Amino acid sequence: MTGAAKRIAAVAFNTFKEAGRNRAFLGLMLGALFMILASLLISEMVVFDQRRRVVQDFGLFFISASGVVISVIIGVVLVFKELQRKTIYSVLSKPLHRHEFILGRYAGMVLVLLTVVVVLTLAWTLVLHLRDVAFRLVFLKAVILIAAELSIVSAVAVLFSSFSSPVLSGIFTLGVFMVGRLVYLIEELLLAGKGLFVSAPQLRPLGKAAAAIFPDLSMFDISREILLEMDVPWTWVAQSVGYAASYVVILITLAMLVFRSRDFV
Amino acid sequence: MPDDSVLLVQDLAKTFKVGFARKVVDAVRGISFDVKRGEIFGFLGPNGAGKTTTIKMLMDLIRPTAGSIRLFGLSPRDMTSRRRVGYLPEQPYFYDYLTPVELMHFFGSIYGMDRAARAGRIDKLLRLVGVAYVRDRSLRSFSKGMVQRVGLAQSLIADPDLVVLDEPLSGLDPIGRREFKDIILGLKSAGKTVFFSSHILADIELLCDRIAIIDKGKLRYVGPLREFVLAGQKEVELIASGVAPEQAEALAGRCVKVETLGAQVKLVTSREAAPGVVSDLVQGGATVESVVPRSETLEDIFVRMAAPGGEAK
Repeated sequence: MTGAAKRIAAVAFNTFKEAGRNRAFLGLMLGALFMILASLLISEMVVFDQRRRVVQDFGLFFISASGVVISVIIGVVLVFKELQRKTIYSVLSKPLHRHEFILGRYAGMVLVLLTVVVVLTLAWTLVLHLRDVAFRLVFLKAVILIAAELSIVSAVAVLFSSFSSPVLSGIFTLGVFMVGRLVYLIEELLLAGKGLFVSAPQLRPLGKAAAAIFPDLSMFDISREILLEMDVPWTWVAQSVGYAASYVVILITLAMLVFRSRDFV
Repeated sequence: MPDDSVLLVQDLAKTFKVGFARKVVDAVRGISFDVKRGEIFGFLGPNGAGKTTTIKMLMDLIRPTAGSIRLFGLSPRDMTSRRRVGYLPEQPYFYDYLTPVELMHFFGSIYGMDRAARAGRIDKLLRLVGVAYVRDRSLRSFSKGMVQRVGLAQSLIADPDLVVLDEPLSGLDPIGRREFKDIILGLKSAGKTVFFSSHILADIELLCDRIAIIDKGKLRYVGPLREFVLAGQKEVELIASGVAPEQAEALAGRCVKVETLGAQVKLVTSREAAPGVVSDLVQGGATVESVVPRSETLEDIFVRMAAPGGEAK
């Protein structure tokens, strides 16, 4: 491992350790774990042929939702806390480049999110097994896509927290997530012969800008395909992961540029 | 850069734009000084004078508006120079979920030290600063003074040639202050260079070889501490006995102050006039009990300089 890789790894490992000792993070993780396990009980309340569907949907939903909340919290709070509590003075005065710090922080966050996804997926697999649902390959693809989506959300959180307050960063990040999930709808409306952009054409440039800038996060959601028992090709998964990687590179590069020029007063 | 300088600061300036109106504040206004190898250099100034801003520029935490900094002949952005510097921030705050040992392993790994080297160094440093007994306790439970001690230890993790300490003695009890002073003197004995800021002047008087005084972003003095203190020695205090009242009256014109203390007389005169006054006293049959140069303390000089229109003598 090169010197730079070692320094980035040191920051990443420290981020992982910090998250592991953060009560809010552990509480969210346990909450998501509890909800996935509770889907077993909830599934008892529906008619027999819907029980499998409930555990399937609940599991995927909570892996995704808790991942988004955790990535926003870790991304926003941990980086901001570093600035607010001024722990960054001691770190950046060491032989560590500012971009290495951002890369290390982000790598640590991805490590945390991967751990969350793996742990929750294992719990979900257990629930599926207890409900006699076989773990299909498409479930694995769904989980990979969730992880790819979370990598974008956490990169957005890192970017915003590099120059904004935690509350604003949290709002902005969730905003990007929600708009990202609706980008497909905006694109459909832009192509449609009726609807919002026809009745209010002045909003059209705004819609076009949103569709061009925001990541299309709907491509990471294959819950509908799972519900309809359709398969999703690996090429789709690979393309989506590549798409996520492109966004991450852009977002983290922007975060590094912001960090490079700022003063730590 | 002179051969014996480890730090060279030239015409360094920093301007901030603050508030909604982007009001321009000149925090540091074109300061120049150098720190020589193996010396203890004190950086003095009242609160808000620009000490911490300057130090943060040395550490590349704040980018200068103008001027240059050379650390070991290199820019502070150069990793080679930063590798040779240890830094204790003012009122340090570290990752409170870590123990001192974990914190120092983290910092040591940034320096590229291997685990075995880190372990040995950490053990030695935690004992040096007196927190070895809480080495595995979370920093969350540490008092301010204990955090300061860990801060000093982490600044020394990579055995730096230059140690930059921002207000290292604040937050410490008297025993802690004494221990820190001993450590700083120990660093000098080991050939290290120490640059430290303080507004506690007594500490500077005891420790420093040379000082710089900054006020409102401008340097007011750079040079040896001794010269600076000597410059403040303008008067001499004489205590004499057996001084006839008419003799005391005759000397009053050459003295700043003449005061009768029982059987003795205290005369305060200028350094230049002192030999003549002593001679006259002896010739008049008086006994000179003591001759003591009256030094302004660093504190007196500092207060005078910090006053509006004040300057170093």
